[in-house]
Amino acid sequence: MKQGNVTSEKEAIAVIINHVINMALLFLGILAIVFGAGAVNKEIEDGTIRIALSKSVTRLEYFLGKFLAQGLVLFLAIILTSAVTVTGLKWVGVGVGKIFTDVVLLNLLLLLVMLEFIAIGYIMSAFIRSSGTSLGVALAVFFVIYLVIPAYVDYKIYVANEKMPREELGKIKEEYYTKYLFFSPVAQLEVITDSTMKEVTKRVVSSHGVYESISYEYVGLWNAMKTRAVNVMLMLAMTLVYLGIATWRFLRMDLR
Amino acid sequence: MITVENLVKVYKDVRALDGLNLSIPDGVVYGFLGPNGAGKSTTILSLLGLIFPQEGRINLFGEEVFRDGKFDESKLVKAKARIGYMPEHATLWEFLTPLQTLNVIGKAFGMPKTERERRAEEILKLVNLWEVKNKKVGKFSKGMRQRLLLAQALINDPKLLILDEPMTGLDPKGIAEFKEIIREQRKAGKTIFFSSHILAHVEEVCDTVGVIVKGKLILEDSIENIKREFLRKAGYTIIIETNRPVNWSSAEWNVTPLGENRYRVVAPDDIREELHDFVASQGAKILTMQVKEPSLEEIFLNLVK
Repeated sequence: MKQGNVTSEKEAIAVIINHVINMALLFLGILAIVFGAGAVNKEIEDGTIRIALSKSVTRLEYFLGKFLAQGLVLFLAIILTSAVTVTGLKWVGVGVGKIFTDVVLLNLLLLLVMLEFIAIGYIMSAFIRSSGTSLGVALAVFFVIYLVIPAYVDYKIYVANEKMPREELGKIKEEYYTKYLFFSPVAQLEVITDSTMKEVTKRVVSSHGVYESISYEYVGLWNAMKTRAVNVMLMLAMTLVYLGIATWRFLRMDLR
Repeated sequence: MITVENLVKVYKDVRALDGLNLSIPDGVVYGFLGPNGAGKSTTILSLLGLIFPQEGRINLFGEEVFRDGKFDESKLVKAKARIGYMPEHATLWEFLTPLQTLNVIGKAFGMPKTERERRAEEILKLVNLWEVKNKKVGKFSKGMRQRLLLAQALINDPKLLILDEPMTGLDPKGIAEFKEIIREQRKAGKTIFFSSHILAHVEEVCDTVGVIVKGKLILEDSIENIKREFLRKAGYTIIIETNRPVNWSSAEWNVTPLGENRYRVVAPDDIREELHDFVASQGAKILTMQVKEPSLEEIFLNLVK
């Protein structure tokens, strides 16, 4: 999300939401991938999966039920995070009514990000026998997805387009993130939230002369999601792909 | 009740089940014996669809649930509704109480709330955990955990009870109570598939025994028949004490003197009557006679060798 000096109520909303998103992505993201990384192998180690699946449930029911239950737990954590956001906004004097729709949409987007991270964790859990190893690998993957690859793509964007004006650079970033970071829920969310800010150029006449003032206007999350529908779809699709891979493996694995 | 035909399971380069055949009729307590790594747990996990054998067939309650590498999921789920399974190594959910555990498991079987509550009380009383029904499982001793594992296996009033090394970790009192529960379940008409390496337990509670070695069933019969067969092959050992010395030079049997007028006689058959006649022909009398029965452990060790 683009940042600048807080000059209006709308920008204040954007800045606070931005900080909350970053915190939520880091901490809840880690929690989500850790949840997923121990979902199957830890239960095999403890033997609880043998008890659960000796009852009249199918493997698919068990697996998807567990996935949804973990998603629900994280959704509750996201709602808690939203409560913090709303409190922060109230603190700077913004009425809750104005941002209610955005808070709901943001919660849903964050839930989608978390479900994607859980699904990535499930892949580790289904393919790696030891829960300890799987946890380590999952955390490494999280930081690669969250920090390393986006930083590398940012570097590439900067190197390739060093002399490009700032507003053009933003468009290139959206393109690169969509094309090369399609697998990263964090990158897709960033593209969507970046689109909540629209650049507004104003001609200002002063005693010193006429100049252009650039500021950012908050257009709301719903508009951003409509503009960046492809990124929302990518998040949905990749969640299903990750979950599909993990499910495919789980339905074939020996639970001993 | 259970029919297994030519079941094969290979883990990388280990052939855990090598064409296993098994047939367990209704209402019996079947002891499944074998040394470590013989394929006992692999067999049980296959029956429950928890691992995928590569070949063979599994029939449960008359329905073919597995054939040539594929489980029929709907038939398997129906069959599992009538099975109670107690795994060998398992920790139950530590943060739940016994009542909550049985409630969760009852829900998995689709049991209505009133039924779950009624069964939970009945079962927890049966396994002597009613007093601690609201205590967290994390604070339970090994023996209490084993009893709760049995309780969860009984919650759905199963027709078939599969117990994998159920008495591991129990103290003598716990073992005695456990055996009593198994006997009660047998009286209630349940079929019990009991895997163990503790032969004394199997001998006491099982009607039929199957011995698995290297993934193959090498013996399956009633304990009485197994003993008889073993005696036939290994020979009867009879210890006798006579009122005066006996000259055994004309006897066809292998006789070893054990002390004053005491002898160990080993013969290929039950020769107790012939022995009386032989001793009488020497003008002597048998004062005591003891037929040394082999324990299941001796038979088992002999088979495994």
